[in-house]
Amino acid sequence: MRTGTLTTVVHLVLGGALAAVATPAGEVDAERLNRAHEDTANWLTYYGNYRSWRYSPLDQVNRSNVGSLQPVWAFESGITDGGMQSAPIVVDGVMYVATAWNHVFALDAATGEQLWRYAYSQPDQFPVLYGPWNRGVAVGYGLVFMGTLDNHVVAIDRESGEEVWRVEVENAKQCGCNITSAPLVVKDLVITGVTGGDSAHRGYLNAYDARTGRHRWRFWTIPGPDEPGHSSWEGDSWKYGGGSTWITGTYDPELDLLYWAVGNPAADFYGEEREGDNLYTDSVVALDPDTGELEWYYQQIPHDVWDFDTAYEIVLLDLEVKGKVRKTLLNPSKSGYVWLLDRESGEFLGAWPLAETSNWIEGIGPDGELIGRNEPRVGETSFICPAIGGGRSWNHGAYSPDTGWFYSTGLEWCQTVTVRQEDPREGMAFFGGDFKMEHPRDGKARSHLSAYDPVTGERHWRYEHVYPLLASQLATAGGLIFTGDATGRFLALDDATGRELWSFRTGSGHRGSPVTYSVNGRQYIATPSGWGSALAGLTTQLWPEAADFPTGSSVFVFAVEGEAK
Amino acid sequence: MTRLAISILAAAPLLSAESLDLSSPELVAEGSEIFGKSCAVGYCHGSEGRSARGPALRDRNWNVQDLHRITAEGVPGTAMPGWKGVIPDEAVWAVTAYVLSLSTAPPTGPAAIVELSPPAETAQARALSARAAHGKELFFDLTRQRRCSVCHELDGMGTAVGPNLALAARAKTASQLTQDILNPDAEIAFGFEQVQLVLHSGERIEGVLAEETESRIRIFDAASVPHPLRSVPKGEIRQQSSRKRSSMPHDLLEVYTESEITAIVTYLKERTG
Repeated sequence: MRTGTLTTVVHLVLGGALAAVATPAGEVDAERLNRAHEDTANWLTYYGNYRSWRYSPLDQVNRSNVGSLQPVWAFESGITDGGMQSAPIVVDGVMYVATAWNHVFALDAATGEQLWRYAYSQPDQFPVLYGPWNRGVAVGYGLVFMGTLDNHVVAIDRESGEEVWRVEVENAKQCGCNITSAPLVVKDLVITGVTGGDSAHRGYLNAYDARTGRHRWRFWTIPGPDEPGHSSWEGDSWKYGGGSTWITGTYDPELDLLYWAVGNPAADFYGEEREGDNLYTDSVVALDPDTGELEWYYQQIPHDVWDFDTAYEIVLLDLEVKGKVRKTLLNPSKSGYVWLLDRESGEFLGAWPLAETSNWIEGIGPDGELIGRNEPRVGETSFICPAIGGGRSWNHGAYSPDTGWFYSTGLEWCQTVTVRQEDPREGMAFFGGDFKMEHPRDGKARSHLSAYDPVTGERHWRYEHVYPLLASQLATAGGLIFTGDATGRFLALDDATGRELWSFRTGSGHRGSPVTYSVNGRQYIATPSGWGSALAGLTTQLWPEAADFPTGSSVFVFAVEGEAK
Repeated sequence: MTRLAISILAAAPLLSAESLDLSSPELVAEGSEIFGKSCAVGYCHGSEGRSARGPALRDRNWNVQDLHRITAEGVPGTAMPGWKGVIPDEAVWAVTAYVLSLSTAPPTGPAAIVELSPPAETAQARALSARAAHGKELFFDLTRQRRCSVCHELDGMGTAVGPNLALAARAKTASQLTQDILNPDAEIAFGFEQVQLVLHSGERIEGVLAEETESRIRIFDAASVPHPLRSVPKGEIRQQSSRKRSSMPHDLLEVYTESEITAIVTYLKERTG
């Protein structure tokens, strides 16, 4: 199902010339973060910068020389439980990388030498329902920020690795929630989401003063009594309705709007005791970053009964849509669809599919309505595609202004779902059923990485893979797309054709987010390596040999010889 | 599968049977239901133990006692929680029976007669009156940003910023506890007077002293709820002082009504007996 008209992609403010600026040594503050897209030597935020393109204008490594890309250093954390899902941050020659169980390492980005290590002290016994991994840190005001498994935010001194403050978001033993995503620094705030979408929990976003950890605001993703939207929940279901914020959002400094995508309602599969649209689950919300007040929302999937979070990245693009240049945002979803919205107003501009194996709906109408909902029935076993792992996993796509294309993986797999009535138990798992992974009816489960027109979803090329591609993409001005696979191959593809130009075996599968940066004029490509995660475990149901794929927890860094300026 | 009988010598109140037959279809079915809601769920062992983030549990050579112990105690340092105290011991055995049923290989280890110690009569297990149960809800009510559990840990939940209320509730009458809540300065628990730091930067931090090391002072900053735990290098501190004022909020009647405070005190008293 496609909406919108085939158009030419244009690049205005966001896609303009990206002149390299001299690396400003020292402080990362609001002004530097607002201009991070011009700070070409560094990777300053989880997605690189607020645009969330996962693109770098660095082109020293390019199509013509990528064949000679060589490893220059590797770092092994030794913390392999859960693999390595991080996106490193690089500031002025120092890489900050988090591992599972909330260890943070500061490394010399040119040599890999360890500068300090911080190990967060976890409580003795607490639930880790969402896994021990961590997906990244944020930097600002001389500090490194991390969300923790016991639902705290911690701030660490960038120079010394000493803890400066920590604050409990909500008691993990009670709420059963963990923080696995990277925080986002906006202005003088550090903003964090939370897991909890698959347990009896009410979701939120929280903002803290970056320097002190003092609480500034909370946005409940499920409106309370007397708030607009509360009537979209039946009875007390709002108290335990999920609505997690488990993937990092982004910020548009020009519009001064904070964007976050909200996860599924709980119980995931059993929706009969939460009748209604269940706002603001499966929605993109735009908030005033100073107050957390809702400016607008757009709900992609009212009353989700498939666990199809829209809680993935939000990519800010200025695009021509139906002959008019619009400030848009692009939001891929676990459902296998990508939504395009006007980011000033939330207006629906179109939706297109990443995964072909799909029967949860028949399509999406011209006004964004879901057509032909195929809801699993209570007490029955239903065959639903895509599987709970999604038509795409959370790992992020990339956008290149050079081609004007959005690069993303897609997963072709299904599941049988058995839905059960379930009563909420505060802080405990609340799925309302369980599932078994299945191959699609038309053949073996598989995956692909493709290049798409971001407005129409028109596909320009496809790279096929026998295993699920579960790592993020990195696009560079060198005409390259980097990603990794389950078997440990780190890959460079031609952004124009999808042809594989180079690969390197890092020894363990890829589940994190590669980045690029430069130090003293030399461009480096860095990738986390370390197979693990819930989906990595689920793959063994369809690919038994994946049980033998080794885990790991390392960072591999590559460069081409003799190119330093 | 070998039939295994576990005799319950000291039966827990929740158990009606004197022995548990781990191969009984009823116990396996009960275990299957518990497993489906607590162990199979998306991120853990997968439907029927087929694997997800946690390991596959099918077709393994289990030692019965090891399997029960891991289910009950968890695996420290991993995401595997202990279920003891979360679900009744009979349920832990039911899950054990179900996981055993997923394997064709006969389990090893003694099909022992297990002496279950009678469960300690925990505060949680004791039935609370309706008012006390309401008080407990209020104490831990996550829909309120300001609530008792933001600063007090009890029954394994909440945050230990303020004093241990289990001890206080044992030592004091309901009336004294109510006074402590409404007039916190009247009797300040040792170590919980307000500490003030003035930094060279001019910033003032007021709150509860958590820890002092050779180089740093860690203090719960009372300026916002929840209180961030600030770790301040001593070299940044110009002045440190304390005063006879409790760090307990002085406006709790704006958080809870009088009848709600009565319910909370009832909870504190009933849970300690």
